Amino acid sequence: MVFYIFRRFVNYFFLSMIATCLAYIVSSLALDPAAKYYGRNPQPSQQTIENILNGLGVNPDVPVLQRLWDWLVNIVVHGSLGTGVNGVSIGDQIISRAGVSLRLLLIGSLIGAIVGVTLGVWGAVRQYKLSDQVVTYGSYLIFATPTFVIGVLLMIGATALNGAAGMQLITFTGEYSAGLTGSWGELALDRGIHLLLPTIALVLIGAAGYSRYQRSVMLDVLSADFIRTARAKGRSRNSALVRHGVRVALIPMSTFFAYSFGTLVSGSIMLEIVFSFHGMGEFALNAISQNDINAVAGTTLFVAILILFSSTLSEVLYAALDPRVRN
Amino acid sequence: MPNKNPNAQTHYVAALEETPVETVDRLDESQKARSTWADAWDAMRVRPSFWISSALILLIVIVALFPSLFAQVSPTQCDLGDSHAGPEDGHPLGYTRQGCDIYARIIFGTQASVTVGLLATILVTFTGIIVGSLAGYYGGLLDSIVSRIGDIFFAVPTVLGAIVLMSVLPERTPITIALVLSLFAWPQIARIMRGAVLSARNSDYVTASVALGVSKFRILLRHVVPNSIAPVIVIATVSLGTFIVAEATLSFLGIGLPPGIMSWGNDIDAAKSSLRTNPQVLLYPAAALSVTVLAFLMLGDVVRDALDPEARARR
Repeated sequence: MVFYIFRRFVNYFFLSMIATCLAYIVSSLALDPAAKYYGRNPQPSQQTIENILNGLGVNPDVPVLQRLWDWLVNIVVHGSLGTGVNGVSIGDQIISRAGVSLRLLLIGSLIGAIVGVTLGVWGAVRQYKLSDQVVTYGSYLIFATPTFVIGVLLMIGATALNGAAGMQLITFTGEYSAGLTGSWGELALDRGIHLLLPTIALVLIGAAGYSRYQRSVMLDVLSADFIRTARAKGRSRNSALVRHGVRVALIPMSTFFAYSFGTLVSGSIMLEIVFSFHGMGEFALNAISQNDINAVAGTTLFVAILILFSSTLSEVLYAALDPRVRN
Repeated sequence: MPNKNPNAQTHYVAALEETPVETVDRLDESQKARSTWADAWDAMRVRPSFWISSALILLIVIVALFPSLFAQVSPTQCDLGDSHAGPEDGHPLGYTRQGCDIYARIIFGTQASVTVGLLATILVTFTGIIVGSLAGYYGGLLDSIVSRIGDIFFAVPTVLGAIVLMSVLPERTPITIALVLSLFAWPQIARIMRGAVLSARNSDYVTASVALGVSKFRILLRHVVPNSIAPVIVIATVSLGTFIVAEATLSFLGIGLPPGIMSWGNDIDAAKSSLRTNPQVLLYPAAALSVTVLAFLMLGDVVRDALDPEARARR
């Protein structure tokens, strides 16, 4: 089983590396890092611009593959992702921002998965009853609403709530209140409250997808013979559903977790922007608007590593749930 | 096991009374065989959600084609004096910050949003069906390449990839947006088509066609593709909605359609600044978008149920 997971990990590793290299090539060809220097008044000399571009390793006169190779060598030898157009190391910028994004992403997708699986099982057991229909159309409504609109709607709701309460009950701009001082607990609580709305939005998006998929898998399982066998040998309805039904239905779900993780990453990027979090989403957008090739490549590497880990995790889950894979 | 029971031999053939002759006789062989699609149509037309979603989609398409039939007010003649004014006679939804009529802007914005969705869906479906069926049917090197390309695209979230490409496009029109979105979305359809073709490739009817001497490519065209296309149709219906959402997302980030083109995404983007004072400006175009996407999702749901014999039996 360890070998199986290792083999899958190596497979995903190469895929992420290829995706990152492609992103490097595409952004190198598409973005023009010299543009902002030509727009300056007085314009820096050609030599100065060349020196800056060479220093960043983004000089368009050097062949793209050569630059990609240098970039990769720099990662392997120095553990460095290069320097951004603002002169700060990309690695340092990502490290200071990754926590913000990961906190939202991990909490949101975990709660979303739990809520989604629960709702999906519940909906399948109560198929076509009113509660199932409500969950079904609720998740369709979430699918049909762009992520940023969900975020904005939650903000409008929170503003109304704050207005009704007559005090600042839910704060939602940025990751923390600027200038707030106090004990460790107060600061943590402040960050928690700021995290509340984007997390709710991410949970809604995740749960909508997971519940639909879990419901359809569960429906297939419910009509399977082994559920009837479990009931026939004397298991109660609930026990047969949970021990035999949900366990089997979770096997295809573990693949779906990996498949849908990219959607959640995009969703959390949008939510970071809506809620003005200084996370990887803002970093990616700034990188593109500032023609910062190293930053775009670094962001892609970050996302690729996230997807690498989530895919491997889903393989581990798969192997843990399905004894057939282990041998 | 048969050795243990001397009478086991008789159990290999079903007793005659288990398959009554009348059942076989009742089959009318002169009648035309019913296709999956005819069965699916029978299953769909009894569901209200099929008619509701179809009517909505028809209405949306008509609005997109002939917006001036639905709005007499010009969406571009705006008077700053009307900025954020409430609803009044002839202007049922009130005014935007720029003093434009919200209702007229929604009606005239339909065209761009629906065009992006339709165009991207058509592109993705055709590419996905062609690539997926060739990969699944012929296998080999082509299959490996297509699967790996799909896996690589899988590691790049669509919106992130689209952001990079959109920000460098020299011209942003509904057509270029549709092209960019479909570039990242076709591997999903190809993957589904490939899976369906793989399972159809070894069916009895394919073997029968081979025995009859039909050429390999003709079998793919006449038998395998029509029998594998159902899951793709379902995903295509759903992805039409997601493309409309993606257009709005890109416009919200300021890298979608240029402000000169009216679209729901641009209207939502423009409403960002007046969120605190007048949230309706954002809510109405967002609602129009959600209703449209919801209609396609509902249709996809009905079509999925209708094309799946097991789901039909469960109802």
